[in-house]
Amino acid sequence: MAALLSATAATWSRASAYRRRLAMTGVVGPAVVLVILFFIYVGIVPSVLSLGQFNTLTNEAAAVAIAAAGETLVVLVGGFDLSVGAVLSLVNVLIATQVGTSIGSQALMIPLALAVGAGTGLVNGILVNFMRIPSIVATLAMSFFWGGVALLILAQPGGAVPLDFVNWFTANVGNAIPASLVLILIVVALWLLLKRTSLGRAIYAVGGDASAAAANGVRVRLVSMSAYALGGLLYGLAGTFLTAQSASGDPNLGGPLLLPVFAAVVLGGTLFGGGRGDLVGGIIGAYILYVISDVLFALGVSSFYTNILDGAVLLIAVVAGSLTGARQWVLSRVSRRAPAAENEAESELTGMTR
Amino acid sequence: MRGRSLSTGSALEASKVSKRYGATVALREASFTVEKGEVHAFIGENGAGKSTLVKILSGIEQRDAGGISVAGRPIRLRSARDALSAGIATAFQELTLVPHLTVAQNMMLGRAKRNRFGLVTNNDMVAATRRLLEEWEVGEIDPDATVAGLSLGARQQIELVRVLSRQTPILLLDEPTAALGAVQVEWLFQQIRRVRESGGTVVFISHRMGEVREICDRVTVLRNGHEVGTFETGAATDDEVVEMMAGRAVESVTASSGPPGEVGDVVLTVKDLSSEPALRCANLTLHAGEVLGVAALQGHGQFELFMTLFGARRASGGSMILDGKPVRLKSPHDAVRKGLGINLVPEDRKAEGVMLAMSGLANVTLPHLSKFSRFGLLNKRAERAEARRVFQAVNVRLSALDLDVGSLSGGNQQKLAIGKWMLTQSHILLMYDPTRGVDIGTKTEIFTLMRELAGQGKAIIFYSTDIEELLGVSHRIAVIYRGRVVAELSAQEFTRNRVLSAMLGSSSADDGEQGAAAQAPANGAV
Repeated sequence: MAALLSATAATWSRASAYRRRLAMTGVVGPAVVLVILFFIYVGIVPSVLSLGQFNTLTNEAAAVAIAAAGETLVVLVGGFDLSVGAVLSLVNVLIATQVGTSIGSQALMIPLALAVGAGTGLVNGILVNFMRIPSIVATLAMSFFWGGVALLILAQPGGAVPLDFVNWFTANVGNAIPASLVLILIVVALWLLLKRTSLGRAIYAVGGDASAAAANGVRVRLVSMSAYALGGLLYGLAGTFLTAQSASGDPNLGGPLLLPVFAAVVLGGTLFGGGRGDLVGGIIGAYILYVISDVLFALGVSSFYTNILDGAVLLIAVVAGSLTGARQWVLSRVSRRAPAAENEAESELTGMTR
Repeated sequence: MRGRSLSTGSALEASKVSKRYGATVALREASFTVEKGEVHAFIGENGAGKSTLVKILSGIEQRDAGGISVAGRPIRLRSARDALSAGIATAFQELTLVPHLTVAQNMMLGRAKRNRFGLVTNNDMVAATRRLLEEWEVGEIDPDATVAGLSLGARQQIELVRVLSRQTPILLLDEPTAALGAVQVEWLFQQIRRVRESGGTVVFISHRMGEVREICDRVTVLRNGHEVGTFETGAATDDEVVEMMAGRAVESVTASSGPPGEVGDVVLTVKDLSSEPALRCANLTLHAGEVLGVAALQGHGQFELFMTLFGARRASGGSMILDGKPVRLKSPHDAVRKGLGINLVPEDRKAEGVMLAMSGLANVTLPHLSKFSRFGLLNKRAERAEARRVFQAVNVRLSALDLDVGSLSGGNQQKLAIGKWMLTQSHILLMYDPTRGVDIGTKTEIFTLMRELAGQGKAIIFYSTDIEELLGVSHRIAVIYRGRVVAELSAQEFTRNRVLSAMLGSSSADDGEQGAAAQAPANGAV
């Protein structure tokens, strides 16, 4: 009996600790919103649940979702990356002009895109961390730079991407699950791994308070630079997907995605200024944006209203975020003002688990 | 405006004031009377209700129940403006200066005089500020200096002058000495005496019993949001006061003389270490298991010494020999990670000690992540187990493991900032004024922790602005004056007066040849 009790107590404490940690990522709120939106969408258009339509849904937001995941990394270390749109374009025109017809050549495009993306991120990271240029200025400059390079490579829309390449990314895997969803799940899995490394921890520390991180022996500039580079790597992946999706090259393809990417980061609960948030939130945020416009489209609302609603949703998200933040703050203060009772409960608990 | 007559009667009266935050009672029917023309201290542990009291009296927060009267007149304080017009001016513990503005711009914020064209000119502001600074005897502060470039102490002085110069009948000073050095504390007391002599009333909130004894006429002790009692300052001993605050008998920190334990071999030798601007050829030795107290007035190079030893500042000359080997530190990363094990507990825990936005668990293990990593991945179970150990050792509730450190009390934050170094094989711990703004109960715990760490063989260099603390916990005390160590006093040698006079550079304290030798070139260098 006692053993059972202690086991329950242990599970309970672990579960509650897990809940608290999950709540701290800020992902729960956006995830709930996305699920509700999805149910509304299904309620209006039941056929969304068919594989074909579900595939369309996951595909349409995938590029912005992966790019937002990359942007979240940069925002987590306290930066901004305005070059994401230009890098998407750059990767797009590179693949569209360089890809051959052989499977090998098509496959080669993926590491190339990832390397180019990571390289642009690395440049940003060096400019911001070692040349001390404010991130907005550095990434704005690089945005112009890579946008110009993209135009040099391909002056106007053109080029074609082989069908195999298109299918790798946009079709379904095993006729069961959209490839884009698999891709996103891989990104999430790698992120969860990264969070369990010292680099993952250090990213939060640097964004939260760089000087405190330094006092704890964290190599602040190196960590921040790595975040920019990893962010760039994800832009490379997003650009690859975007290319498969559009099946052609366009030097202006990425530009218009800059603002949706930032909107997705905010909707996902990541705070500008750094230290708080989660890459998964950026992905969820992107899907929230797209499902909202899908729902409105299904309701026959003019697409002009979509933008207006996106703006409203963005503001609501920030206000709701600060409200829950305030609530958590009050709760935590309450729990610290009454430490005695909880202390006892805890020590009892630990006594039992032993 | 100020009631200058030394008439008696209450300046400020609270009856059964209560304040709740959610389910927590911060003030529970607190009642007290502050007489006109007295300096009245409020003391209590963190969470006793002092800061809530300040917030209510300054109009920042509103009481839930009870009454407040000023000069016998019941009054409602709905805003900071209400409090000011009722004659209560408050100097807050968290500075309210704008860092990127000049001293003059800060002083005149919201009260600058317009000239006949309706404009505020810089010259007028600077002149008015200079007058105020001189009137309040801090003429050495340059009105044109940017606040961000000034020391914490000077900033606190500006904040205080800003409040003093309002000349309200009641001054509310929330831990005004926390950031001040010994000389500046003297300055503040001088100003408080001036205010009292002219009939003003001062409410003084402090953790330091010595200061309360020196300047305050009466003391009110708060515990758990309720007043425990008010008495004449001389009417109770320190131990009695601490007992009233804690509600239990607490071993007095300063009373327990006698250093922590046996001292081992030399672990660190500092030779002629210099660092701009204030550290000039300092020499020190540090032994395993030793607590070396560092005493100095503000700005005599102690900050540079700590930062250089931690690798956060480059040495401009001299050397460090660690375990017999010379070392050169380029960054804190070198100090923490290179197996050197030199760690810092900084003065401003909010800025450098802890990561407010990270959980208690992540805070404690951040410097030691490689210890829990295998193939680059963290073993969360091991990490948690170790973190629990630290939390239990420093007596912080375990539920804080998963809470943001920002939501913990300052005392608990500081305990974690120190406790996390228990997990390293480190042997040198640099503690720069770690007890600043920490209540007595937590202070006691911090000192116990220091003794434990020293008992494990770690060497501790401990700087405090409070000499009593140094006397209570150190094996030896090194006194720094003008960037040099002018005296190293053993536990048998040091007394409050001896340390103090060495800090002031008085040569009579330097009985030892070392002090005398160091004195002459020091004077030449300045």
